[in-house]
Amino acid sequence: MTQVDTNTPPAPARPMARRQGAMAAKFAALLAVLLVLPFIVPLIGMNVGIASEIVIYSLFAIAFNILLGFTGLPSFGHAAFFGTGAYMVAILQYQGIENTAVALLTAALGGGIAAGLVGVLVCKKRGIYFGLLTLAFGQMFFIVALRWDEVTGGETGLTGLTRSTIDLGFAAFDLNDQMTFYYFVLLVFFLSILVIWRILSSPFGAVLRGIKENELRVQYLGYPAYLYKWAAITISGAFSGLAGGLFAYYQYATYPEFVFWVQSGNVVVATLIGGGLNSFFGPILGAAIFVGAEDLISSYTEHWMLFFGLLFISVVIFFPNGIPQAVMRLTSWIRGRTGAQDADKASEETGK
Amino acid sequence: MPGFVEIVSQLTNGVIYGLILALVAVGFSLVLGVMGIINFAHGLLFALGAYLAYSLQFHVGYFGALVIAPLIVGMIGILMEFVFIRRLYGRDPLFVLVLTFGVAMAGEEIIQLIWGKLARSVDAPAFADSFIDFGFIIYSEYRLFMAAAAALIIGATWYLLAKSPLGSIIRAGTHDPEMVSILGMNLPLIRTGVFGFTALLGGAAGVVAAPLWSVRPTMGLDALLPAFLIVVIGGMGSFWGSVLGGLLVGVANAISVMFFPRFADLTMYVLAAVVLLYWPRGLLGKKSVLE
Amino acid sequence: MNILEAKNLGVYFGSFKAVDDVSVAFEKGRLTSIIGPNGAGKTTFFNLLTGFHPPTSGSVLFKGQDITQLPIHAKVELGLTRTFQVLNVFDQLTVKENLRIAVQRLRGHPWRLLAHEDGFSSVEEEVDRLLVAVHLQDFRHTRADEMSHGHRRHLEIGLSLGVDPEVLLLDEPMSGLGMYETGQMSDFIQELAQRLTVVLVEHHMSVVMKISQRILVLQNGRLIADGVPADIQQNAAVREAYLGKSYGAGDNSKETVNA
Repeated sequence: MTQVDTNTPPAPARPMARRQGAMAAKFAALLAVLLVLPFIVPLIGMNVGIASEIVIYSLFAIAFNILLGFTGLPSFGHAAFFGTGAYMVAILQYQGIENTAVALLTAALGGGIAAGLVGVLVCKKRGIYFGLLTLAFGQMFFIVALRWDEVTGGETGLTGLTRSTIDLGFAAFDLNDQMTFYYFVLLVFFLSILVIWRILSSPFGAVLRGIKENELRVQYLGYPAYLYKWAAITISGAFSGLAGGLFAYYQYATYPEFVFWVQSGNVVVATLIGGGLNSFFGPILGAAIFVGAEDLISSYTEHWMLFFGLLFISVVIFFPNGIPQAVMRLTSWIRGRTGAQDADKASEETGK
Repeated sequence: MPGFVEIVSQLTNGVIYGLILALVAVGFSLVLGVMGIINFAHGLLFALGAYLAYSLQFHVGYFGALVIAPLIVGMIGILMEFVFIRRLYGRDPLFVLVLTFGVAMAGEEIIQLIWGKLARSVDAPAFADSFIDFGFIIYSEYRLFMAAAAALIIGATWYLLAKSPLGSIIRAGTHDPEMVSILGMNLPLIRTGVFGFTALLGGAAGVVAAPLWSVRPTMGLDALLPAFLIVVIGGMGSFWGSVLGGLLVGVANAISVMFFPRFADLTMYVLAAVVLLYWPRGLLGKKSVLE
Repeated sequence: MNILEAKNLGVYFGSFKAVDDVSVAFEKGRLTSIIGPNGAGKTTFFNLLTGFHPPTSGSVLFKGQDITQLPIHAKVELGLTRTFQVLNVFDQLTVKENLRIAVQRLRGHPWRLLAHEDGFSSVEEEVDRLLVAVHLQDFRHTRADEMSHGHRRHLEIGLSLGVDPEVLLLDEPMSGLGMYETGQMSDFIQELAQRLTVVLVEHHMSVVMKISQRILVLQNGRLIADGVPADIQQNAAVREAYLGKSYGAGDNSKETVNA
């Protein structure tokens, strides 16, 4: 989206209407890319299903980024909310409730409630202490998933889930079909991120941005900051739960690994790779790269944790601000190097 | 209803378990306090201590391992700080946590590659491999040795922090990292030293725990997660808070094992949640710059 | 009428009494300044009044109501707010975005999650009014961290005004300002004092002497003098507190007292 407008002065001022228009354009471009994604994925030798996984993971990362990128709260327990959503879908199905819409709403509700409970304990904290607490209490959900066999299936999880057919009268959509499932996931994803964007651009979202910048200042403007943080955690948890619910359908199962700390770390890393700290759409790119890498690594080795560990380390050391920024740096570095030869050319161009 | 003897022996077990956890938590909390770092790889260092004890026992015996293994783990800690963590000072603490996440994951896999997936066992040293008969209760000698060793290391650490000149620098750093550099101290060196020292503590805890814990790749996390909660319960940056928290978690765990064994793991979470609601800074915590 | 009152207010850090048994009432509409050597406890006193620190002893009354135990935001809701010695604005946001967060609580329904933040005309009008009030109308879309220090000080006061306070505590609003900016700030504070009760902590003695209607002097956490500027200048205890340094009014605006 690099548009050059010669009519505006160099000041960073941008009229509101233009800003909203630019955002609408970005949403449209994103939709266009995601609509053709399942046709691109096989071209690079991957399973069509990966497209669904990318979109589901993107939703998880964007939901997570409500906290990290837009409220400044580093959560390391988001697997708990994601996993709760997944288990909601599975548990409902084991109870005989097959309706997809009901199951996904319950997944969001479950994720929200789980996050709300953790939120009560952590919403007065920030920074590294917030990270420590979410990490610790997130792992509590893993223990519940592991030990409460009657409900969660213990170590083996809940397997053999089914996807239903959504019958709209004029047409029926069988979600067992990979393409149909992908477009269903895309629909849920797109509606969700529209809602999330709307929330972040509301007055409430402005308070969250204020908290990210300067929580004390927000308190001295008369806002009970902890309530806003609690609400942010809960909303983030609800959308994470929704993503988890979709993931249960994707895998036809839920496993305790969904709730494991590694999963919490994954979403942080995916968000960082995409440069999510300062970007709404960044986590989508991060999720795509992350899911692709995961697919690649796990198809070559069973020691995936080793490579994931190395991935985590290298992301922090080499791309702490995300791949997009790293690419920009690299290109400007290359330009700088070739700049010597191109110097004449460049000066010629600027001279025009 | 468990009988008197079982209650006494479980409670004693709880205290000993608590001491080991406290030892892990003290090292973890020191890095957190002095460097503002959540070292997620601290559990890995604990596991490395136990595995090195396993390998070294065949060559130098248990006591040899008790000395050598922590030193090796300490060196690994220094290396870790020097190669990775040093690059991240002054940046968002988030990055260090993700980094140590990665180190913990890769490390766990490396342990599996070297020692295999299955649990290994470390024998208790010969002098303490039998049982003492207290009349009403028969108790394992090694457990008592373990308690004594853990308590001794905790005591020595406290002495070092509270009484030595180095300790006062470290304590100053806990409150205000900038002060240390204002005092003209070499901050990077102190950080490396503190990190190495806590790695050594973690390794020592691993060696002491090895004969009783099952030595397996995931044991690091089994010790680290309680350590998180112990820091929450005891209060960030409080030495005795970590010790108190460790003992509370150990005893609470022992009690819940008797009454609802399946969910015993959850007790410490409930304990931490209750503490957090009533003592937001932990039982012995003070207002800190990290909040 | 006393709008804000400290009763036997004190805070101890160990055996060190940072603020020691201070009782003082602030009359509505008056501009009161608090002076004293560095470390006298002026900022700590502000911190106690606004709930940044809980006091060890004593209480704070606002319009007769005991607000000592109220959380910060509740005190602000009642009409008491402050600025900080170390500048405290939203650095990454533009001036307009800064002010909007301040004013929308009372006018923009901050809990309406799905309403767009641009959609509240009452908020926009108030932001426009504030921009003029703090003389930043030319910087509407400038990011806070790209402005001069003086403008940022104005912005911080603008944030505080956005919550419609009745009492505004200003903690060294002139620190770090040049001579010209200090003059502007002095005029600005006088403007504010027409409408609000202002309490000022400041080192610029000439400004303090010129604009204050009443001056309190703190030393070692204790209130050692209280009176109109002319009295304070004559006060022997105050002279002694400043180590005998003379600080007669009106010599030049650079003169500060830094004991």
